[in-house]
Amino acid sequence: MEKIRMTLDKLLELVCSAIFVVMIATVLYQIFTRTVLNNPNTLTEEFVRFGLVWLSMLALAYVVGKRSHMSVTLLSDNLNEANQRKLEIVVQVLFLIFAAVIMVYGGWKAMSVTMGQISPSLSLPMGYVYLAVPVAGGFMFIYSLLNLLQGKELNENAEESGGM
Amino acid sequence: GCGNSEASAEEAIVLRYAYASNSQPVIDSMKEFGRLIEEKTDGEVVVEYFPDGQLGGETELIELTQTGGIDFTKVSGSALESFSKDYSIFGVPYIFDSEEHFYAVMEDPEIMEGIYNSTADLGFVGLTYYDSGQRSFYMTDGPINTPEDLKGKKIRVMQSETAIKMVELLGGSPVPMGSGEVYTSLQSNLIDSAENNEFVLYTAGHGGVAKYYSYDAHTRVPDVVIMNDSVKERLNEDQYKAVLEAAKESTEYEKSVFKEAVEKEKEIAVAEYGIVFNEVDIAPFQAAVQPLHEIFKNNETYSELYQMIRAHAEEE
Amino acid sequence: MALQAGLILFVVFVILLIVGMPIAISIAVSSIATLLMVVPFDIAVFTSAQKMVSSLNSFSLVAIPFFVLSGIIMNNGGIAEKLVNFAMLFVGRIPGGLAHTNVLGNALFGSMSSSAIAASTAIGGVLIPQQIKAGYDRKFATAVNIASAPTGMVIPPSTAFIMFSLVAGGASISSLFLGGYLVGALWSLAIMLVAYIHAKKNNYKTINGVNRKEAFKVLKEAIPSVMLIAIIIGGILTGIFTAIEASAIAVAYSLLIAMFFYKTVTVKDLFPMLKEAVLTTGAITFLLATSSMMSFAMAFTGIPQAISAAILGLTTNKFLVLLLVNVALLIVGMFMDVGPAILIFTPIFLPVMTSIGVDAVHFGLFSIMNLCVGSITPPVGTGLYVGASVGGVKAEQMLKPLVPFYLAILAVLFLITYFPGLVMWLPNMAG
Ligand code: NA
Ligand code: NA
Repeated sequence: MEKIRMTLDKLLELVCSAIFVVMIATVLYQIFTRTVLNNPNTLTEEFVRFGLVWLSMLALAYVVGKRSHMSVTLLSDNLNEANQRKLEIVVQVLFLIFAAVIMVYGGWKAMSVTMGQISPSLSLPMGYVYLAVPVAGGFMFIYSLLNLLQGKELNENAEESGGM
Repeated sequence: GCGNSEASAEEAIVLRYAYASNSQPVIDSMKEFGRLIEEKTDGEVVVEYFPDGQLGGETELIELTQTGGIDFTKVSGSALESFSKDYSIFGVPYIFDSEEHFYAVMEDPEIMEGIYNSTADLGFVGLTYYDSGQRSFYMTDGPINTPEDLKGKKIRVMQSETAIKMVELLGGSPVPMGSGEVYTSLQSNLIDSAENNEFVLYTAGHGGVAKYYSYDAHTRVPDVVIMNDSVKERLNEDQYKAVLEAAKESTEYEKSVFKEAVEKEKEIAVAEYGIVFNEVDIAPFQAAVQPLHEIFKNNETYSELYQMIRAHAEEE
Repeated sequence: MALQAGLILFVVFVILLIVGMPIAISIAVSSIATLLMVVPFDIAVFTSAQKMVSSLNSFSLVAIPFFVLSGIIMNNGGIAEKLVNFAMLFVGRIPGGLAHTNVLGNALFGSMSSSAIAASTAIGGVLIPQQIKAGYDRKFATAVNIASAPTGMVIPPSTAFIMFSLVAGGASISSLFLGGYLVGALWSLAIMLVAYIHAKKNNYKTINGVNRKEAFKVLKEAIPSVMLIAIIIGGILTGIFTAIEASAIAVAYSLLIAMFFYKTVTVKDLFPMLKEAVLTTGAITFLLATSSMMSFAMAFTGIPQAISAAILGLTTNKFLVLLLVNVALLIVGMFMDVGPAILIFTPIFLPVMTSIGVDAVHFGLFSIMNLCVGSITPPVGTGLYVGASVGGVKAEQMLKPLVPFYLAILAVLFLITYFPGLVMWLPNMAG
């Protein structure tokens, strides 16, 4: 199981980082073509937006994998270990349901509906953008399943991420 | 909010109408549509409104209409381009020679029925159009009289291939940009000019930074009211007929109030910001964008529609 | 219906939140429960998925991951100490100089990252021990650090303002940023004023001046990082790039100085930094995506209008409405993090603000400052707890020493709420 998790982590880290770098390069290129070449690029903005949707979706699945979502720990901090464990199970089951119902099922529906809609600049079917939802939902589903089966002690550095 | 007729709410069929931010006359016309439906059906059908983009932007509203989350929305014809190529024809600069030509086409069922029904496969159809006037350039550092005045200017356009191509053909540099950053960008000279109807001047406040509005009137893109397919099944024959009639009547209403509102907007733009309006000889502009006409004329998808629309021009 | 829907939404949401469910899930579940009251299951599910995409499909939003990354790069560059020395040059000789250095240090750090926690740890971590050594009261030093750390959230780059702009229907990010510098400056000055009075009363020493050669070295080391402020403001004001594009410039610039000027970052550090940025991005976008479900569910059931009508039914006096909204937001901030609070409460209060004629940018400036105060108040306040532990003091012992600082911050909040000119002159003048 740990192997599955590590493979998924590596995959998402690589893909997200790659999208990240390409997005930065694209925005810099957009500034360059407008200010230096005086020839504004017409495709970059849409490209970056679609990249952002994919990056965000995969990143939020990754967050579930790392258990670094934000929560209010006012009460749960004072729970004993057994109750903390129960709470953790409920959390992971909710993630599981959210991933399956909203992201995979709802996302798939949204993708089918938007396949006939063509983006203005890149002329790309919008369904390819919406595809990010069911795909990320699939990752999230596997992660929350692993979290359920593996318990909390296996990935320590969980809890709060930087956030804001 | 909840429907506007609590008394009949028991039995009344409630239809949902959501729209993005709009000028007052257009909002009034959308409300008139609902009022007419209620009146014609003796309150059997009522319309509930979700104003000001509360439910999302135009594209989202179209998608919601598609899936039945809402029953009606009113969007710019250009927002519909992504859903049906037919609507792209309205973005062609000077596809209409004049306002009369525009109305003649819009009132021609032979042209418009085809366009309205072109999205039937996607789950929604067009009902009627609203006039949203003409779009012209407005600039920070002076009026535009000939395409020469646009040379080297950075001009904000919507994310549309046709709009980008148009500005290029007129000699400017198109900068596609979301509407939220236009004001600041005009002010900081990131762009020199943008294009829109008169409501951008006072209502959207751009007149505070761009004082010259030049009537080159390059496009007239209609607003379109669209309806989810299931409405037809949920209403009986008379009720459905009432919806269709109300749509047409609301268009007549809109045309009358829209013109007044434009005049009012111009007055207040002059009073508040000292906007300078100037008339433009459009002939050289029309000539400059002819390559775009050639593209649409010779394109398989558009050629028939293009010819039908241009045929009305020759009638005049 | 609005009342019923509102009740379901808030009850479900608050229960889930209190028992410790992830905020994003609490938002999603309560929104879908509300939606199911009015639409069939399929439409509720489709719409939720659609909202996830449409809330993220925005060019302005790219500024969040980019600014997060540039903040991480700057952090790894070991700039805290350089900023401390730099700040000391300017405010070290005022009575209580080390405290003022801490305030200015937090503000400067905040001009590179959006994280109050990072600032209070990095800057306070260096300065609190120094202050204690110089004979300052430990609790006072800790309070100064805690009270000034949140300035980093309002001083651009600021993810808070970008989030606000997204949910407020595109209020200009450039304008919010320019106003944010002023909010941050006023906030810092207020803390320095309280520190000054305390230092005078207790006869705290000032710091000896440095010689010209040392000063030059300090400037040389700090100026490349501080230049980031000039790049962002300059870019916006000259129209070379927008506030959004500035985020990409910030990444390139911070990478450049970290790799070639400070030489603290090497190629093999890049992947770990990207991973960290992805994780933070995911946490924020998860909230954004689910919050858009909530604002949809609220709008669909008429909740914002109902709340708006209720407030305006109580009073239409502009002064009182602003007071009411500020008090409500202060209470929200006590319990909730800044990000989710912005996403949930902006759509509720914006219609009220519009109807009493308050500018959206002005509303953004004071409402975000207001919510940022919550990060340093109990019972939920990461800034308070982290700051207290940096100072080696128990959080509950920090409340009393913080009182004068809370009052000073509230005074600034009051000023910028009722005298918009204080923070709007720069956005108005320059866009
Ligand atoms: Na900041
Ligand atoms: Na708090």
